[in-house]
Amino acid sequence: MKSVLKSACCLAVLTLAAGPGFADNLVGPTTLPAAPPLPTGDVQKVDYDELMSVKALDHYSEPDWVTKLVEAGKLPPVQDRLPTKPIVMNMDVAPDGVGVYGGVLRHVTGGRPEGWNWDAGQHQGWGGLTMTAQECLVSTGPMWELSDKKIEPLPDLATSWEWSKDGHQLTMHLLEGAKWSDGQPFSADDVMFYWNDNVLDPQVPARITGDTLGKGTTLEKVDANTIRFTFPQAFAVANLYKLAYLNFCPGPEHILKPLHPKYNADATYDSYVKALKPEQVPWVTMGPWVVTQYSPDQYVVARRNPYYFKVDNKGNQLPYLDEVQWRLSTWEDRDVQTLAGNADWTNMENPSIYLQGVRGAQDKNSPNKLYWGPRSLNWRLEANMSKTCGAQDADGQAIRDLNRKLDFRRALTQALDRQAMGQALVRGPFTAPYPGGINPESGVFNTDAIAYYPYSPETSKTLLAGLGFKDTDGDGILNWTSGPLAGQNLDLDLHFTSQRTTDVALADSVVAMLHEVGIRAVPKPAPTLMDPVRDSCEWSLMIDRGDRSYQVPITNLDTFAPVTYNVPVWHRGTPDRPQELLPFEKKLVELVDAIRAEPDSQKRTELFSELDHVFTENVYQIGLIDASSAMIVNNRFKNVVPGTPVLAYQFAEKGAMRERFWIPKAEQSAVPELQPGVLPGISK
Amino acid sequence: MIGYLVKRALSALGLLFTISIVSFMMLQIPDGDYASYAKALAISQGGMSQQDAEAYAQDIRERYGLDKPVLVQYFTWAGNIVTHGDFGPSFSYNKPVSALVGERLPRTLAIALLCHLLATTFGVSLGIIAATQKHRMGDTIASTVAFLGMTIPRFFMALVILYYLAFVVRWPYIGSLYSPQYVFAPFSPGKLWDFLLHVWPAVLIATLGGLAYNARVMRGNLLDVLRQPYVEAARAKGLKESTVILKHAVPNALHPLVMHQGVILPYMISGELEVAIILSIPTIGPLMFNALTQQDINVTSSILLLLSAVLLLGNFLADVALALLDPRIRLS
Repeated sequence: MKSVLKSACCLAVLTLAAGPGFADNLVGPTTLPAAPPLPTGDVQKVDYDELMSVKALDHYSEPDWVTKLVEAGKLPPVQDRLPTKPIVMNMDVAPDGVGVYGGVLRHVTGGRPEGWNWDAGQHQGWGGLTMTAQECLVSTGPMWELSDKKIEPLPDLATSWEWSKDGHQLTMHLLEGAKWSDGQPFSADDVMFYWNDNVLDPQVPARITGDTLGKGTTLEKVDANTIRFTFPQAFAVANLYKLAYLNFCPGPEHILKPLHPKYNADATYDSYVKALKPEQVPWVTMGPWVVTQYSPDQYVVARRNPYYFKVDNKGNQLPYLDEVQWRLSTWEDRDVQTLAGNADWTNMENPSIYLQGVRGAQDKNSPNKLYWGPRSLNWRLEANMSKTCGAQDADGQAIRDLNRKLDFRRALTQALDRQAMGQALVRGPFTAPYPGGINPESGVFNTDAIAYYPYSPETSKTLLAGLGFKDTDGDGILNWTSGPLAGQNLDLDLHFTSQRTTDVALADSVVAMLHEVGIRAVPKPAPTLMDPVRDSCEWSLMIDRGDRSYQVPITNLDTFAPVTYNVPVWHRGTPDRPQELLPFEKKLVELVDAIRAEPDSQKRTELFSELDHVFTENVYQIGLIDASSAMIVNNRFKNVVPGTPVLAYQFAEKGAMRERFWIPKAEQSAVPELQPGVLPGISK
Repeated sequence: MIGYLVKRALSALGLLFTISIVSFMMLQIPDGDYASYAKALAISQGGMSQQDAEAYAQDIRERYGLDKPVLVQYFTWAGNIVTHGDFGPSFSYNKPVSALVGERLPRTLAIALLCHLLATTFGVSLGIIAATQKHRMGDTIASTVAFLGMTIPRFFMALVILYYLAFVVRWPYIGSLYSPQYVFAPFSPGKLWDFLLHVWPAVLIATLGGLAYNARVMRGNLLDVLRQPYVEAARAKGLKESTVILKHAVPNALHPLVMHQGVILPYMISGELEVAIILSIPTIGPLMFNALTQQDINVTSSILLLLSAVLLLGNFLADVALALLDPRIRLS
């Protein structure tokens, strides 16, 4: 904190040193205005050990119709299907407590399952489907609900872990006696197969590489239920977060190994990747529901997994819901079907439709409830600062040099009226000014640490004049007065995606507001998401949406500093020509390295404050607005927690803990099951 | 005649080749490729780091040959079509394009044909009413319907209907082809009825758009025919007015519409495309639209090629028909 204050003093001194006349005309930096309260309801935080624990219970139970299958000899008894110590979810802290069995959850997804070999990087169709299929070593999704006492990844396939004294080794204990949905045992062999024959095999397109956890990381099997990582860096706590969805979710070794070319002379890598097509049901998983029916472009049906490893505190095997359906459609259709009552869940992430959503939910006949989460989505304007990636001609380099000047970035940020921008999108408390850097509604945000440059077009004009810009031809746009662009208008291309209406609306606002201070932003809408444009390096300004990296910075620290050649995305280098770092960027790199190796969460939070101060003081990124988002969930469902964020550590489908959802008996018949009485792989 | 046909066939093939190159190249204009899309998804959905996502994207590029020069990609794609009839894989679906199109084309054609049938029947009927009641109430109503059908964009009609069904009446049959209980069920009359309950908005909108053209053409033609001396002669013979119109005038007024059938297929499919996209009915339209946004180049290129081939085939058949009818064309 001391260093934060020191930096703030330095900034004040520097501002004054620029000359009394100059400094007098400059407004800010100041403190971030307080955001209005959101209609999130009473958000109850829960202690880590209260939310879930790993222990054996005296008694376990299951739905009656499953018991009948056990009695018919088609399935082992429930206690034999569960791990020795299952994960016990405490329903005393859930809004509606212990549930009843039965009922259907209907999702809609715009994705299509590629197949179910997720060891080889295949996804299963997004929209909550991939999340249902893949269970990972640890779980981060529900962490948003944890109280400040302990914020750490939750158990999943790994139930506990400890660091060695020197901090280089992380030993993880896996679920003992757990089984895949086909009844085969889950063990360390599944994890080792994923690591050795997928992650480390360069010919398998796994989601992560051997370097993801640090170059030189090794993994060994200690015993059937224990594995040990050895990291090159001591106390690499950020790695623990990388062992969650979608990075470290092992698939069934007993099915995949015989298909791998290393163990099968007839197989090729291509045949291996594509071996498990979506049509091949039931998919074998550790997840709560197992896909048992698939019709291309139409429907996916998943039934309860009789071997799922979680129970409630009364010993009822989870999940409560017997069936989950996915309509294979489009992302837009997800909103339409949910609002019409034909589906049960959508995530409302587009502020321009919020009022329609609110109006719909207020209707007494509405089939849905709205669950507002924090303002965890943010939009930002990036100024390309790269000297070595793209724009190698003199004109391009002149613009990059300009973007690298703090006064110019400050002129940009102070030309933008964030309050007006947010209200133009949606009236009400849903948006707030975003200063850039760590999201103001993140758990590690410290409002005293940031330098906020408020809206002040006069300050922008002064700064631009100080940089030598002048409207020499009287057309209302400033002109360059020196350099290769001398005499030309100050035109900057502004890239944004036309796939999101919010981005288009924000681009309109940015163009209009920059014009007020004499900068012409030339709109360049892209029909794709921004990654291809960004990868081309040929852009000057860009609007994009940020989410979990800014909300939960520990999960992706690369966002905040140029730690490798291709991050942050607004200051990239190339493998041969790394970035030409500005002095403050070196400080950011140091801070990120320090955070990575800091095991103490209190100290880590202080380091985050320092990082955010350097970041915002130097306007490393031009924040636009923060926006809240809401889950729209059908009224039938219980145990939906108010305040569940659409996106924090993970998307809401993982964060809301669907395995705890339940539907009162009287309401279960509203949506009939497509496969009543069916368990994956078990004949009726 | 054979020489004429060979010449037309060769010219159609040449045009198809040119279209295939232009469409393939045009689709390369936006920055990035399918791997960039997969990378963006990996970051947004899975929270992957830039490095991991880039390595993952590079794997995809190598696997699908997206790292090769565009011309090499084009000739690989076109070569496989010519030599093996293989349109390549869809990257996002992880299955052959031919299988994807094969799943969707029959239902697309079925809906398009139904729309076409209704548009022709109602369009011709409206045209007859308009012509026989020239400048009277029937003409005004028929012309207004035709005018609205021609001028209101189909996507706008689709949005209005979608809003009404989803937000006002909460219609349970929006989008998709079937309700969940029929998706995995064998064919039955109930399933057919359920199908119609899902697709009627698309059929209605495409029919409205299509009937407008037919009604206006029919009205004009019939008015011309009704002025012919032989119609007067029929009336003079004392035939009933309905017999004069339906038996003597209408068949002759239909000629231009019949000739138009040769090139109507692509129009029918495109009429259904935009409506299906908005209403999320899984036909060729949404497939192509999603492939465009995901830069799934094999899908978009192949669909464009197939639509072009259908158009050229229609034109070719129309040329053949004209040549058969008119010796000046085949001998020129």
